[in-house]
Amino acid sequence: MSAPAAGPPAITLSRLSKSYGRLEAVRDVSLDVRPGEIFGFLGLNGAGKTTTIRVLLDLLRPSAGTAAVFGLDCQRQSRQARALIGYLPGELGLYPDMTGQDVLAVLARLGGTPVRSAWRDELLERLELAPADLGRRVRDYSTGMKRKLGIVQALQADPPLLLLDEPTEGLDPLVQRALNQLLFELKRRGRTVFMSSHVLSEVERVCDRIAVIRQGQVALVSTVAEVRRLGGRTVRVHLSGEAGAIALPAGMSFVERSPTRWQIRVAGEVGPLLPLLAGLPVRDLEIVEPALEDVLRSFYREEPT
Amino acid sequence: MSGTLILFRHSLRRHRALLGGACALLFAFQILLILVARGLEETGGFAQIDALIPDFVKQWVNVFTPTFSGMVSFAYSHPVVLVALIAIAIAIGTEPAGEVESGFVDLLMARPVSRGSAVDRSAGALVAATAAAVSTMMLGTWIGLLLLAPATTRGPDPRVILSLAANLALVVLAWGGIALAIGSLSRRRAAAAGAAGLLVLAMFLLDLLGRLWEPTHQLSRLSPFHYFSPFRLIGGTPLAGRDVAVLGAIALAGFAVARIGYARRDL
Repeated sequence: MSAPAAGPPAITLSRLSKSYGRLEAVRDVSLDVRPGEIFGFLGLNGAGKTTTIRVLLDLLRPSAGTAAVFGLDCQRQSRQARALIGYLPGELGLYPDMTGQDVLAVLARLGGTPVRSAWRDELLERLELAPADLGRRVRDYSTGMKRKLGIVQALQADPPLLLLDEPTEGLDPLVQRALNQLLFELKRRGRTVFMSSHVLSEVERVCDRIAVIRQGQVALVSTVAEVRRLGGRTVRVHLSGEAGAIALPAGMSFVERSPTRWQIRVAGEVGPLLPLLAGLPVRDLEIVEPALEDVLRSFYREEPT
Repeated sequence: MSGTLILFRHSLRRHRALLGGACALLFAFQILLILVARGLEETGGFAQIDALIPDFVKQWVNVFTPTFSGMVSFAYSHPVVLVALIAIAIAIGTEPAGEVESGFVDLLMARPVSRGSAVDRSAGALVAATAAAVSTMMLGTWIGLLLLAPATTRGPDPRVILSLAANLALVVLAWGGIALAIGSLSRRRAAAAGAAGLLVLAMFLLDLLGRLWEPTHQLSRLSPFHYFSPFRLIGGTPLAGRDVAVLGAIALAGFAVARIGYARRDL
């Protein structure tokens, strides 16, 4: 299965809104996801991530605006659009009396695209879901096993677009790493991944770009590198003796200022700081890159309590 | 294979234990009833029962008199049979609500499957389950009569059994259609099944009231049970075209409401 040959975005959200009565779950969201990228959709619980994904699948009907997948309208051309999508729900609703094998078989048949057994076996092996486990009923599965089964059913038809809602929830670190590796490989093969998460370290590891959704509205769309730059770097200056005051240039500010240790937040180049430090008893200097988590925390913090 | 067919097979597979168990019990019930009827026939029990039935009951049930063939035919209107078949219809009809509640609908409808397929699947499963259950009953009657009927007694006319089975199947399908409409608009299966069950009870009581108390007779036309008249059929009256039309229309209306409602709703 492959995406349409021309180059429409893998996902286009255009002024998308979704309300439940008076509650506006998603408000005026516009977003493009490029083919072949891994896109992180971040936000706190209840921010509107799952609602947006479910609109893309036509499980929810938007109150306003449109959603499209590879140029196909998710409501008017819903079936064609869904034929291009592999979906992992945040909460996997499986019938407990079905075996894992049954789940994969019925969902594969409904997908309409032949599933290559070699690819499916590879997925099972890499996610450490043994063939014997597939013969067991889902009621006997652990949370992590259900998650793995969910990932396999989403990936087994090798669709051009993957919508993964909290994909690593409940997975142990080794399987998380295997999944990340798998996502990188899918990206190399031109697949697009749109994943929601509130685990920033995970997003930082795998995503090319991110969007932060807050109270149903997009608060930020950026590359991970740009977000890090937004946060600025921190320069730690270790002093061997007490130093006099210095006036920091624009874009720099003190985070910490003790007699023997300064922490200076630098937005932009570090170069202008160096002449100011030249005359000081500097013992050591560290330049610390910001973690995505630290930067985005400010976006999350703006949520009213 | 089309999405509807895949979902239909999946649905039947999921309900196979319920359906298989119900069919086995209904078959056994027919055999048991024939055994009991044979016993009563051989001991002259029917005459004693006839003497015990008050006149107003005889009037209410219209033409039913206790005989071997009447008792065998009575299986098709026995409350246990009716309750069992309507319960199966409600279980199948509320499957869409169950899928929404469990979240399985997210996995199904994330595939290129039309929403109508989910409703068509349940309607198909309803028809198949009803046909299987009623056919099993008829098979039980046929085998029971073949093996167990007293040699000197005539069994019920096959046309009567066919009419009874058709009327029973239609009333079950009508309730299945109603359950499907409720189930397709609900988020919780228990709530949908509860609402359908309460409606069945209310309509049963309304029909009973209409039969017992003349002033409510007109109102009782609102109840699907009004169009289920087994005692008339046992007495030899042919199945009324009006009853077939009304019950069929209720089933189709339920199906249409389900299809439209499910297509428009948020899942």
